[in-house]
Amino acid sequence: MDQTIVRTRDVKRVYRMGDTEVHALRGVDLEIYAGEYISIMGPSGSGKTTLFNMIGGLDKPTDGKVYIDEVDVAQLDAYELAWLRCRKIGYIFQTFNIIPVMTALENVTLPMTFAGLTSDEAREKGAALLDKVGLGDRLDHKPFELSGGQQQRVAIARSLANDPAVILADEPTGNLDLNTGTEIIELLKEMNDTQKVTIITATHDMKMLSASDRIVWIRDGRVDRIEKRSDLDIEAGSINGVS
Amino acid sequence: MPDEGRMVSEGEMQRVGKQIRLPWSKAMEIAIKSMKIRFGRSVVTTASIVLAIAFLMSILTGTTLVTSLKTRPPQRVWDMKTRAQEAEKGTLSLALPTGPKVLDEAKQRRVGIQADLTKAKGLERRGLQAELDTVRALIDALNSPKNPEQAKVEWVKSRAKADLVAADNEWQLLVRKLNEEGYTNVKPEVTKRPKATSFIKMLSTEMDPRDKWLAILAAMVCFVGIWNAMLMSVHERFREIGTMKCLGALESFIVKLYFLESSFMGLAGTLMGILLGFLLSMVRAVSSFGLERVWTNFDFGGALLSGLGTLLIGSLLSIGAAIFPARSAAKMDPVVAMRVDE
Repeated sequence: MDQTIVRTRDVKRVYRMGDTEVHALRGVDLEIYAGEYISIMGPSGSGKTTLFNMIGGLDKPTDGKVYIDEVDVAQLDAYELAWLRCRKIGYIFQTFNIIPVMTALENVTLPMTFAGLTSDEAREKGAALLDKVGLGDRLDHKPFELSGGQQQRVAIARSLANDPAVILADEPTGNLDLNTGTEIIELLKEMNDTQKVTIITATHDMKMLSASDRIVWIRDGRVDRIEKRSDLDIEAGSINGVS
Repeated sequence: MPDEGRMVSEGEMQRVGKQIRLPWSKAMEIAIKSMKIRFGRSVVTTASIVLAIAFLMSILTGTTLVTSLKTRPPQRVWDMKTRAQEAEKGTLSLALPTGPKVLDEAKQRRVGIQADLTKAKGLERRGLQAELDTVRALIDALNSPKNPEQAKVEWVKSRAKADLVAADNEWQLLVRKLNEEGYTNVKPEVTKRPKATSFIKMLSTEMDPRDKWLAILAAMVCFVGIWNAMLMSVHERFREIGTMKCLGALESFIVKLYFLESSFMGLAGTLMGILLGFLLSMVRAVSSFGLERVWTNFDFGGALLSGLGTLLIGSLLSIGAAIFPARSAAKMDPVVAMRVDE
């Protein structure tokens, strides 16, 4: 039925800063299914970014296991990790992280270059992706010529460059205003519906709630509860007075 | 569309190594673009390379020139000495100048030299005296002498002697100039034919220890300057590097990109530095020793070798100084890299 794409088992992460230890994750068990749109929510310092990094193969757990499609992430070497990041996972960040010296098109086609596409193939595909996110007329714009929302769209297009199975978005609307943030969430939902990519976001933007299939609430390094969208009590446009 | 079933197949994982690449052409593209955008910063980095290399090159060229000034004129003196000895033995053959006006011109010259002699002193006097003897001998030889053969031989002897005196005078003046410029260990007597100094020998023995130290200092300045500039450049791009790693870049890609950038800057800076250093040392040499002396004694081969040697040093330093910061940046954890505040 629903196939698991990412699985964590009692994942723990401890940061050692001098003499102090920070327990960012205190044992998280989680299963994420293929094709779903799942949000990890929680206040700052709750460990959601840490969990996000675990799931995305950006960090290794101090204890416990993380399986990306039944492959233990901790066992992967540099080549395999790079391959994973290039081909199977797409990343979106709060600070956009677009390379400033390249145009929008060049940014989107960079991962394609790593994957071995020719310049022509890459350019064609990149232009199509940028068109899909609504930037078809800004292919040659540099990041400083684009607004925050537009830069994030470039990032989204880039994350789809090599047809990944999973897109990981860390606070994608964190640096965007209300309207732009809503646009981005809608775009992500659209990608989820049409491209069938699994989307995993870590956020504390309440607007994300209506788009997510499931929400994982993290508190103090542990899973507080997991809710399905159908369980949430959502009034049109607002939740408990928070819009 | 993602694969049905497994995200990553066994076969795919096995082919992993060949699947991620950054072709050199692409890497060049990115490197050139980065340099263009960061042109301002690049100019400052390149400027420091240019200056340090110019310094090094001017020292090497200066040393090459002084060495040839110390060798070539004495070689000429020695050759003239040998020639004069041959003249004494009677084995040198020279052709007497011929023509209707030659005798009259010689007589005129005799008068002129005698006039100059009254005011001349030292080396100049010596030279004029030798010329006078030659002119007198020429007149004797042309003026229907009793023994033409003998007269010609006398003229040949004085001609060879005058040439020797001229060469030696030039040399003595040069020795004085060299002493003035601080090169004090020059022997004014020419007791044997000096051997041409090879480039390596020149660097080890002829080079003034003061200059040697300056050259080493220049190389160190170059290295440190590049290292610092590269470190800064890498540091401000930590986020970029972290992002690239998230896109699947291997460490070797990052190193490749920085290697190219630093090579370009290093090469460009070195070439400009070599040109600048060469010109500067030429200007200095001409203003100290005079254009003619520099021109007649210039050692093109030596200068070329200096240039090539400096090119090699400059390029190696640039690449070496850039590789280490690049490698450490490449090894960074993408998460840590991206946390660096801009």
